[in-house]
Amino acid sequence: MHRLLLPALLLLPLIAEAGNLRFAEDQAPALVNPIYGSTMAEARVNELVFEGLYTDDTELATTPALAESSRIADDKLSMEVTLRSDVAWHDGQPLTADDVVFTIKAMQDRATASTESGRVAWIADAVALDARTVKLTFVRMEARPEDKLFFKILPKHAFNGLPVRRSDTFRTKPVGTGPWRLALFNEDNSITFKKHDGWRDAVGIDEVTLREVADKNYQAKLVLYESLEALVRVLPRDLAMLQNNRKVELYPYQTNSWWYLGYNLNRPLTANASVRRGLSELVDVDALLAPVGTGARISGPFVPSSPYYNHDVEPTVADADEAATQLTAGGLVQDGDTWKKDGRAITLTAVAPTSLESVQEVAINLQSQLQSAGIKLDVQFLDDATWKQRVWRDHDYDLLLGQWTFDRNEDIREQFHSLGTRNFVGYKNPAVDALLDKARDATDPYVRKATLREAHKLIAADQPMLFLWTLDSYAAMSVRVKNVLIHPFYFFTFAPKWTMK
Amino acid sequence: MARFAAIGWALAGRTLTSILSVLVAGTLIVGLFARAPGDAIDTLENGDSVRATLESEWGLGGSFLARVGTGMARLSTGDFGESLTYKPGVPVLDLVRTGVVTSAQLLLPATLLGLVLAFGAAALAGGAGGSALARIMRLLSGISALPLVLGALAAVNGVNAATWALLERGLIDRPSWFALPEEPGLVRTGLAIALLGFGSARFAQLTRRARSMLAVLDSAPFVAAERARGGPLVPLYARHLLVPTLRLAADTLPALFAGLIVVERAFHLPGAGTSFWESCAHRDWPLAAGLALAFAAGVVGLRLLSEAVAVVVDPREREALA
Repeated sequence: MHRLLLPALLLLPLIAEAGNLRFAEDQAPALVNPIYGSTMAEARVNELVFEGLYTDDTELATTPALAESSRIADDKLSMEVTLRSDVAWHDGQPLTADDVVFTIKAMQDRATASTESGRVAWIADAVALDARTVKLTFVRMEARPEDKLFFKILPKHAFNGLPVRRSDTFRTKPVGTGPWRLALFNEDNSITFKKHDGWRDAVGIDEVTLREVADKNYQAKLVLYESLEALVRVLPRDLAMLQNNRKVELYPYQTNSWWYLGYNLNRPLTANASVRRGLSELVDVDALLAPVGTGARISGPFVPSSPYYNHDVEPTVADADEAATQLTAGGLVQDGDTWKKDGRAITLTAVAPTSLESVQEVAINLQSQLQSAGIKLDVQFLDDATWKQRVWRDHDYDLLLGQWTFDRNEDIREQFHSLGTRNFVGYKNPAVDALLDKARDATDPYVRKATLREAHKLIAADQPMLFLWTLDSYAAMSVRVKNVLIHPFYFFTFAPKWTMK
Repeated sequence: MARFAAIGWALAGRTLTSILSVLVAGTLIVGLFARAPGDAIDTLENGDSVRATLESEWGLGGSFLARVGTGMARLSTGDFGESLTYKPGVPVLDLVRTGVVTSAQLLLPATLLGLVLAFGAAALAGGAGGSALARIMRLLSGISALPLVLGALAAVNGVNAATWALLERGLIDRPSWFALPEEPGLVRTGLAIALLGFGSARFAQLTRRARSMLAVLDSAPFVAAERARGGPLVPLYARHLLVPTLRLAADTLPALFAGLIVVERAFHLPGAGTSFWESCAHRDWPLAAGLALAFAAGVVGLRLLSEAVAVVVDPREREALA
């Protein structure tokens, strides 16, 4: 009896510390496959279950994850990555170089229709040299290819070859190498993740549960009621309520996301740069920001903490006189309280996605500001599917309110290059194209920094969008969760070190 | 014998009419979704670049007529396809079956509750009229669904807040249903059933029809005779109300389905209503069509059932058919 009791007593602190961390998402992912991820909820789930060759350390510097070491060729056109030998998939199979090759080929295969294919577009070829070594050949010279090897690796043995399909059973029975394995899709749409016992390091929390709570307003309440231990982002209006609770701790963190008011450059009126500048100068951005939280104003397509942010460019300031000058230069005529073009009062259509929190307040304020300046604004809130159809596919809008979120690479090429797949505002500037090409090809980080700062300046001058702000983000955690360090993009990158009392 | 054959033929004819109704409904549903603006590919981030691949994989290309024709041909063989974006890859039939079974646990008690309340209100409100209960029933029969939805949500929040206050003071243990339980709890499900049965089945209209049914029976000679004899009236009323009540239930079913979508969403309950809402939000037309067809089949099926029961229990119906 004593022989059993002693080890049990020794184990007691460990048992007490392991627990179930429950966090909320607006919508639980129906598909857990990192090559099809498109929402932040999916990115967070993928961070629990899967790993890339490289990841961020706590200083957000690139550090090996599944990779043990790598060697970049002198000509910077290829590299060899050696995998760790102590990595097993959740089903017990060992990680091999074939898995890495399979993942890259799957993402590149057009029939797979991966949303993440852009992350491997720079890889010309991938070959397994042996069970633990993979050789990557690049399309062009790469100075720091490790920074681009964060995409998650899939197990080749879990698929029936290529192409991978969205409907593969893997979507609900994923096999990863991450610190937690997906245990169950529950009937109430929650997802249970259990600790991966074979993970190389200690994992402090036994079980993680994603709870689907569609009502954002209810999420903070559930933290108060101890029905959740973590809330990824607290709404500004809930900050005070949670701050005053002794069982909840707030953690500020910086995200690479920013809000913007985009102009449709395919429409004759907003294609005119003077009109865009004039409209931007009619907007009091600080007044728009005040009701939705605190944050920093931005003047271009990066957050102020980014190395690529050009601090010499000032954010746009509301100036009615200058706005009038610009609008007049753009061919508009002020008739009493109304701005007109060719004798007709200006009416613009602004669209905003309903999924973007606090967007209603911003849009209504914007409508009121422009209305009092003499421009009628028709605001339409669109669900995700209609948003993608109206904005992405049909480009059917005058103005759009939106937010971009970037990972650590802050690659704005897709948004601002004339060939960018997310450039749905229709922005085209050969000089910016050249700078973005140069930044992509730059092997020297200082050259990349200088180039993107220059791009920031040119884009700000062209005003394809009014750059608004980056919001301060706070996560709420139960005080029972200890050692909390939050990754600004993937949230759970450092979660294995979290513990629970 | 000839009478039975005639009844059999008549019932077979009604069954055929019901099947045709479902087929017409199916064609309309498939047609509507084929003409719906946008599709599942629009919801994908890289929709433009993968459209050609996925249009052929998901059968979203081709003309309107071709899509309706293909859709109906597949449905006629029992092939409902797979969910595209809401639950990618899961057979639609599985999702419909699960959704219907789950929602039936709300729909059946809600239907019963609606009918019991309606007949109760009709009996009381149509009576002396002076009692407090009769006044309450009259008041309830005039209430629309909206304040009920708001009231129910306020009740959920109130129950949660009050429970939390008691928990914080250490007066009670944490109840299993409190603030987002693992399984839909008794309070949430109970409120959802009450709301569905009372709110979405057009309670005022239900009560009016119940009242008119009771009035017809009240003035029927056989009821007067039974009453004069001092015999039991309840079995008599029950027998004569069965068929009209089934018809009434069938008539209220479409409204209940609509209410189901709202109630399941509001109370965060899984089921066919939630699936229908989400499939539309995800432009997952095969799943939305499958669920809409299940709703249509439910209405037609209940109507057919009421006809069959009428033939079995009501001699006048048999005579009419024969």
